[in-house]
Amino acid sequence: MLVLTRRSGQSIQIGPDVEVRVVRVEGDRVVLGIAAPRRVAVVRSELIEQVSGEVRDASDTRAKLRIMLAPRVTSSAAGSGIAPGADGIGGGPEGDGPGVA
Amino acid sequence: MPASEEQPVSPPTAAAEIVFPDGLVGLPALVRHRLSAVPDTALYEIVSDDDPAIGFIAATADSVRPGTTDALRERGLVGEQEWVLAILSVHGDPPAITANLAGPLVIDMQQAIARQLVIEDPEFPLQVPVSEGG
Repeated sequence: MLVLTRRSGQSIQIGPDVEVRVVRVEGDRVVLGIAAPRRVAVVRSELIEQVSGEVRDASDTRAKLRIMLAPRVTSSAAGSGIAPGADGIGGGPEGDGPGVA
Repeated sequence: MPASEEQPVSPPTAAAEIVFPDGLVGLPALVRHRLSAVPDTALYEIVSDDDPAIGFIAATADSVRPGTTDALRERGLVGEQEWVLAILSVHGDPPAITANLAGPLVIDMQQAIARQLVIEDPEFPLQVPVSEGG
């Protein structure tokens, strides 16, 4: 790993279009400003770990989710589905999804 | 179904093979997946062909939170031909269904290629409560 020492207000350049600037240092916290093209994802490392954990949780709880959804699936002829609040995720495969039947 | 300039391309009626060239977040080896609809719902199931033990159920991101796809398109993260799905999970006691908007799946059905985004924004939470209501 390349290790560089920077002071507040100084920056480093990563490739031609990514700049990381040290905005300020507050005790053991460093505030960074990052300028990057939209195509470059800039996220905290722990968020990647959280999203990864959520994917595994989703896989682990798939069977439980199926059971929870079963009453809704069996009554789907009445137009039901799972619903965020009152708006609903109903509508069946003809809705706003990719339309897999 | 032929491609349309106005709408994303729908997958075939049978289960469709989808390739995630970069794998899933934290699971880079899981490249090949199978997407199918959960019958009689607006939900989809994605199962890894590389590891069939890994699979999950997803809903369109817009059905979880309307306007999500447009918001991501405005940021240049989603193309006009791409769909956005949110992975569903179960958390808590009593168990409750949540949707993951921080790590949505972006699917190009025309190319049968997909990717998982990681969005650093409190407007796209990791666990959005999804109630079971009709």
